[in-house]
Amino acid sequence: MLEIDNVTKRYNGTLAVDGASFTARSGRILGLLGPNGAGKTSILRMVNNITKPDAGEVRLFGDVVGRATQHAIGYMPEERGLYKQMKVVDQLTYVARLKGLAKQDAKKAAGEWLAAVEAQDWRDKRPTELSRGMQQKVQFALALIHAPRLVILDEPFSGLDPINSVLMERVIAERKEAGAIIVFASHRMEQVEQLCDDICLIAAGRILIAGDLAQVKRQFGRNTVQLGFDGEGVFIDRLAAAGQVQVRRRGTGTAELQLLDDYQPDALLEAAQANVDSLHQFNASYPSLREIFLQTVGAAKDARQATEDGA
Amino acid sequence: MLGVVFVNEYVRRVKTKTFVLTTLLVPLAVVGIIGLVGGLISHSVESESERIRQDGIAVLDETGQAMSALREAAAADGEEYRLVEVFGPVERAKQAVLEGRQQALVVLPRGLVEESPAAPIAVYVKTKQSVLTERAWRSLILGAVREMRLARHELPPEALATLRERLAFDVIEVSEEGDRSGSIETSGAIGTAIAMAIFLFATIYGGSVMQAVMEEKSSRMAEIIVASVGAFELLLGKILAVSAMAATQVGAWLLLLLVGGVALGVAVGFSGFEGAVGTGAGEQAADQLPFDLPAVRWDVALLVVLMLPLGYLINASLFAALGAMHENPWEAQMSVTVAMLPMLLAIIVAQTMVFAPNGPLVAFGSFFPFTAPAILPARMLLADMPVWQVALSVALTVATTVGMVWLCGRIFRGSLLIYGKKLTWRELRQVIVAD
Repeated sequence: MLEIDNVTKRYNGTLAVDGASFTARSGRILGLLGPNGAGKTSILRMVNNITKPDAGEVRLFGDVVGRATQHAIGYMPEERGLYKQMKVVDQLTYVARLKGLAKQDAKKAAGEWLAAVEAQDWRDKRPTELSRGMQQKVQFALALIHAPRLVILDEPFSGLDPINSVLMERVIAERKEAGAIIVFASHRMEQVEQLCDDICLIAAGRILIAGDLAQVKRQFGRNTVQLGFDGEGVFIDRLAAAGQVQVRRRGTGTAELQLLDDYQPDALLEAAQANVDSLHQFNASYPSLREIFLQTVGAAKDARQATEDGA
Repeated sequence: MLGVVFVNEYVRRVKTKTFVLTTLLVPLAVVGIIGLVGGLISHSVESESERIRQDGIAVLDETGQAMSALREAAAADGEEYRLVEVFGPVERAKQAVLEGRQQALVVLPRGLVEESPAAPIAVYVKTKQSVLTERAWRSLILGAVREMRLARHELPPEALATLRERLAFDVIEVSEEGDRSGSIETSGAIGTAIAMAIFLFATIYGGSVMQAVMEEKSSRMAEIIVASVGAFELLLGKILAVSAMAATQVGAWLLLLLVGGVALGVAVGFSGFEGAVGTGAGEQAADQLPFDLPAVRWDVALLVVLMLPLGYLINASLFAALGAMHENPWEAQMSVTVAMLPMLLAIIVAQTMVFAPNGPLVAFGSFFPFTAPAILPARMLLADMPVWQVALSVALTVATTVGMVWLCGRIFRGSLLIYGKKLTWRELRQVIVAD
């Protein structure tokens, strides 16, 4: 278990992480979500013992993180690259050695991981000869080569084509099955929604929501409705004007609405049936992660603004 | 982990084509350049003196009595100067030089032998002569005039012999352990040589240290690596690996030059120039040095072996710190000037120590960690330094070297994660004091 316990970190007087607490468990994927500059990378660096918290503790399997825990962690940072003049296989072996593998084991692991990310052919190539996607797969292998019990991936899919994304997702799923803790930082909501078991939403250094993804969604209720119909959609404008729904998306005969306040799906269904020629889709669902994100971060921002104005 | 970083960094550098090529080709190039320059100089000097020999030197002897003495001196010199006496006004004789019929014209002014002449002894030439030729002329002509002046006084031969005798002059330092006569120039020369060696190594390889540090940031590998190994270990591993690479290269150069030298010596020996190699020649060479070689001081030699690497490391860590502070190679290169200053200071102190061997500058230089590697061994030759002072100076240098690497490690760690910009002074202070 990875525990972030009331951690605070300041840089140059700016509060980057403000009393953050959350946990990530073995065999589960935690999505760390937040806008740019929210404090995600700051937290990940403290977990990796690159920087130390000003207050609070980061614990991995019960031990406070330090030099000893570094070997148990695989890290793919957001700012990443490869040594320009080093062969791919040598880079893998080097990092594996730094992570504590013996020379022979490191070489063997390098070969296995090149195969795992379908990169055997580039073994003796230098990064300058590789495409960006290929480099990214090598960086991904660098994070996993020593079979870490905690895998941290910061924006792992950015700029990756769908085929390689699928390959990486498969590997991540395998590590999860093997019982590793996986922490996945991103602001790509769809991907987080697809992959993660738990989420942790962070903005301006504070944790806004943390917990099981399904539970979080339930908390927000079935407040999103997709409509498909023939006929006039004027009734939607009326509802929106009355402040009962907010229009998320709209096309000819389609709409996605968010129900506001206490307006219930049943009421919307009645209104729709009364106003359109025929209703062929009515789908009330949980909000997407994207909506939760926008709503929560927006609300937190407003609250902060209000406090600052008040002060 | 330090070992893993070191081996990786070292092997990576030594296995490059550039390293192998420069290691093999630089000694050849150096020998080639020295040979070429030496050959060109000696060729031009020879052809010049050959021309002078053919054309002869015109002598306008206004004293009317110097010609035979000059001929005698020229014959004694063995240079076979062909002296041609010319007459008439100076202007006409100069015309011959101007028109190239004569390479040089010596004018010996009236009254030169008897009294202080109204005009200087003048040599007119068509083109500038080599400094060697000028020196030869000066000693030939002044020697002849001096002999003529002496002859006028009709001194007894014993008096002449006394006057001509070369006397030995020595400054001897008294100490508890006995007298010591090592020349002060030796100390200055040793100090300068060490300072120059450090300067040379640090400037040749300082760039590699800087590049090795900047590479972590520019390749964006830094974060992955410091998530596995401490920034200090990473930095130390890099600095040591580049230093080991430097030592490998310099060692290979020395070995190649030695092998080349021996091979050349053997070849020369076989072709009949016996005595050019072997101990005889060495002793002869030592006798011809412009200063006395002191008996080898083993304590000083040991100190040099210890201080040379320290002097290199202390400067290399400065380069590393500058590399850590910059991401733009161009800006980093500009900042190198800062790293040069301590080394220049060492060279200046070493060069000036002969003028004030007991002055505060030398004392300061032998303790100041950036100059001590060069100045301390030199000062030990100059004066009796108590053991505790030597120990203190070495300790200060070691402490400063470690301190520099540590400081540089802090800057490195702090700046590694700040991408795409140069560190401000405020950030620099913060990364040094931060946890």
